[in-house]
Amino acid sequence: MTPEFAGSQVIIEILYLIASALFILSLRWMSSPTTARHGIWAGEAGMLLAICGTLLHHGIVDYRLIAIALVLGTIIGVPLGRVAMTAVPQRTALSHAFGALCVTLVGSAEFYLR
Amino acid sequence: MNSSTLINALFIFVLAGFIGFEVIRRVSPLLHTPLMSLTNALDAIAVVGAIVLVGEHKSTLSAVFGFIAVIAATSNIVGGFLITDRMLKMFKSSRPAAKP
Repeated sequence: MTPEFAGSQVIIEILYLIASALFILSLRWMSSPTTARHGIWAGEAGMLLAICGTLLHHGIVDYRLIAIALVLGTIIGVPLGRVAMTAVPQRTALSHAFGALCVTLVGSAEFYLR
Repeated sequence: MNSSTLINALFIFVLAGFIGFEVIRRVSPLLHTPLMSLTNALDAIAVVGAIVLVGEHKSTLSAVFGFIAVIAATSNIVGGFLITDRMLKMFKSSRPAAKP
């Protein structure tokens, strides 16, 4: 770590720490009907902080591809969030498959880069 | 991986396991489905690793993998939060009738 990047590195780590705390609070609040709505807000805030923190990462050189991928993901995600309520179990299962796909690809790419 | 990294990782793993268990232990059965959708949205936090992969662009293969991973994770984030929000809206409208 070179000194000029140390500052942004610390900011990123702090943002990740706040995001982790917000995720735990989010799940905690989701366990009771009166606070469930706060749970969604905490989750969204945590996700926003984590993504913003990652965009500050000094190794990132190509923001254009990231923006295209985020927009494409949003275009796919909006219809997935608007399915009929009876289709929710299937939707959640499919969505878990997407999550697994993401983790698998990240792991494979990291292994390939070693 | 040296042994102190491994021990640190094990510490995080065990403590995170306890947090996860305690957080979801007393969830009201009414909220099981929204909780599933919310955890689905939150598990897309892997987007962080994917964004770094795309941004660093170390090789074409890793950038393509990262690109697909960012799309999959973002669709999870957006879809997961949207549908959890919709479910909770339905609860709100039906609660006064159930508990006057």
